[in-house]
Amino acid sequence: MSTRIRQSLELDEILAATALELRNFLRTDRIKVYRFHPDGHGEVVAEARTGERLPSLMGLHFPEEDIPAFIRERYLKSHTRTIVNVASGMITLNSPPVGVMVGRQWLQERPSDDLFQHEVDPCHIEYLTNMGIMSSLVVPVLHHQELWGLLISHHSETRLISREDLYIVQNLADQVSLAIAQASLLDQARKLAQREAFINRIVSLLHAPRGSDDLIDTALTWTIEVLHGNGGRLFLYPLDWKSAPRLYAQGQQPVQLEVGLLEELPLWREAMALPSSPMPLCAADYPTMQVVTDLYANSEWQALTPYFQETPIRGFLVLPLCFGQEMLGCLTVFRGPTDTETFWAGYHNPDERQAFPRRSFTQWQHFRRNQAQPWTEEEVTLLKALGGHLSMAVMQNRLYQCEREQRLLLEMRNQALTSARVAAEEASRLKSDFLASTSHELRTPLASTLNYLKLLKEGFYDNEAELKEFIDGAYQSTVNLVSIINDVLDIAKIEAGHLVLNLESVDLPALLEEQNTLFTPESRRYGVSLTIDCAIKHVWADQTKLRQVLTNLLANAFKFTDHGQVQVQAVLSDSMAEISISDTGIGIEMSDPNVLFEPFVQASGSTERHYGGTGLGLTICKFLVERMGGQIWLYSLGKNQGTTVTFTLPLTQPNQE
Amino acid sequence: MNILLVEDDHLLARGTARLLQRLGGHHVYITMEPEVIFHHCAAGEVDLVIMDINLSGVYWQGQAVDGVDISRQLKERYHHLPILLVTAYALRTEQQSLLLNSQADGYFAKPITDYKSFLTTIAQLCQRSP
Repeated sequence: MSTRIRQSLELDEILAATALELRNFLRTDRIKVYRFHPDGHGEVVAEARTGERLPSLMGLHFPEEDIPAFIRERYLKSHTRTIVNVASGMITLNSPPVGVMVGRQWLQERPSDDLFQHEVDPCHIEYLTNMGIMSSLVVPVLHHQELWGLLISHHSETRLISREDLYIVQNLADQVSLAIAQASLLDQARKLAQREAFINRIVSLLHAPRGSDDLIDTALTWTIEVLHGNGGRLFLYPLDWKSAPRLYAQGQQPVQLEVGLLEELPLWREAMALPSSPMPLCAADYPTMQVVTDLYANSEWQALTPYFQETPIRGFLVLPLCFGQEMLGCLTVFRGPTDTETFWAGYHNPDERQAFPRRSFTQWQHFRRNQAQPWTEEEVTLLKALGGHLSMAVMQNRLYQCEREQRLLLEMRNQALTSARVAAEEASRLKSDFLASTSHELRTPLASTLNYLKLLKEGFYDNEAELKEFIDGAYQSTVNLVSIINDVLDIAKIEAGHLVLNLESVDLPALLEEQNTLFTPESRRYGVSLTIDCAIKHVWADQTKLRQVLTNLLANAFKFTDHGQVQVQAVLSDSMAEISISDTGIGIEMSDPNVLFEPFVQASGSTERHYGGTGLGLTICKFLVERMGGQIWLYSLGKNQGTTVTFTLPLTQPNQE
Repeated sequence: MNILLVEDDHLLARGTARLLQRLGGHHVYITMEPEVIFHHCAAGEVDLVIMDINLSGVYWQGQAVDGVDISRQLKERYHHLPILLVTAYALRTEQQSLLLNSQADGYFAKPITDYKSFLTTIAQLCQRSP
């Protein structure tokens, strides 16, 4: 019998085999294995019947009150087995290993010292009678010092139970206890293995190279699945106060907030005992996991219900994620309601239980819709175990991000340094070039001056005219030298920021008239007409500098023009004054004439030195115009096609922003 | 000697030409046009070329050229034609690299202060050439 019972490690099979073996042994109408649920109510989990004299009770639930607490206590404390003889209205209680014969004859023959007999509670008699039972044998099944359930034999007629029978049944109950212990160990081992397998799956996913958002989403989905949730979210605090927190959400979610996230609500944080900031925690503040089975069952959560009312969310688990002393975020798994379906034995009203025992045990189906599903210990343990791994993965991801940010920052800094270095080198090169050019340019008039002085010193002149020519040459060379030095000093001043501009509203027509007067002798001398056409009243400029620019450009125009005309035009363009100086002179052949604004560059071709000049005039003009808030450019159709230099100036004082 | 002075600053060129006439008794032609330079050299009228390096805005065969380029081309055609560079570049290293590139026979830095050695050098260069 034991061998057959032990053929399987699966509890259901063991119990079914036990019922069957016991029925074959006792030959009673119904053997059932009755299991207690944690709330005290019972369920028939295995059954074996002989014939149809007693109905099947398999799968039916019996309320807690059917076997009152004191009776359960007795079963547990003294391992009492009870034999009830309904016909005689007597119950026999035995202490092991005494067997009891139920029946009047047997009772008369027995010495009274090894049995404890008394009348059965009439209610119990009625209960059994209603069930159609004339004799019952009940043996408790214990597991871990707890009353696990009962092994029950029912018979529709009075039935004799011998001491040996009882002994064997007791043995069987002990076997069942062992089997239950084994099966529960097996079940625990299985659950542990499942948990480990799941955690391993998640861990290997999270530690896949290059942690990406997809991986976290997948891990979240798996976690929700394994916990039979209907949604979940992973909230991660930002790395620094400047960035926003991250949220990964899957499945059902609470109502969208107008501002921020659920986890940022002080109300939620308080309810979930989460710290208000991810600052390093001290041991006392270490948050623990919150397990909420039914949001609506506890007034504590009342304030949070508005966020969930529209959703099929009834309960949740909130697991804070910490690493070391730092709060990283929290993982929340939501769970929806469920519909339960229980088959109760007969209609039952607990209030009138004692007065009216049930008359019928016909099964009675009880539907309970929209029930909150409690979180099992198993699920809570699983999530806790997962939390550690998840925290580690989040931390790793953070470190990786930090490292990446640092790297990017470093790269950016390097780039900035490189471009600064390039700019500095360029500026330095320009400076050296300018210096080299300057020294170069100063040498020519210097050499010329020396030549003429040498000629004079040696007295190499034959007549007055030659003497005058040499003195003129020396003088002219020195004048050239002075003007180059002046221009160079001007540029140096501008570059060093020592150029102080006195900006004001300048009467442009008056200034142009002044230039007209100044260049009239040139105009007459070369036979080049000068026309001025000014449509602008005032410009915002430094009068002295603007005069310098105009004089410079007009001098250039006359210098490079031997016939035709020089024209000055001032018009309005893009709310700026646009002043053009055009000539019909030698023009420019270069593809990019604007290089003429660079120091010491002249492009007049083979006759350039006939015109004199320092090669710094346009450079200075460009500096001055740009400092006054304008731009300058040069345009020529080509050789002998004339040249136009145009510059712009603000009309009024630009807005000081 | 017939000296071709290539210089773009006419004031400097006139003074230099006068000095060469007075101090060394040389005949000096002043020009800065490549066509004119090659024409005179081809005609064999030139004993020595004094070449200023910085000739901004001078074009030859569509290319902007300076004294170094013209010197090189002259040397390719007339190996024995002595060329003396005159440079306003201040650094000795610069001057030497210019000399190498131009294949000229010697150089003087502007401003020329030692007229004696200037003239001696001219005389020596002219003697060397056949």
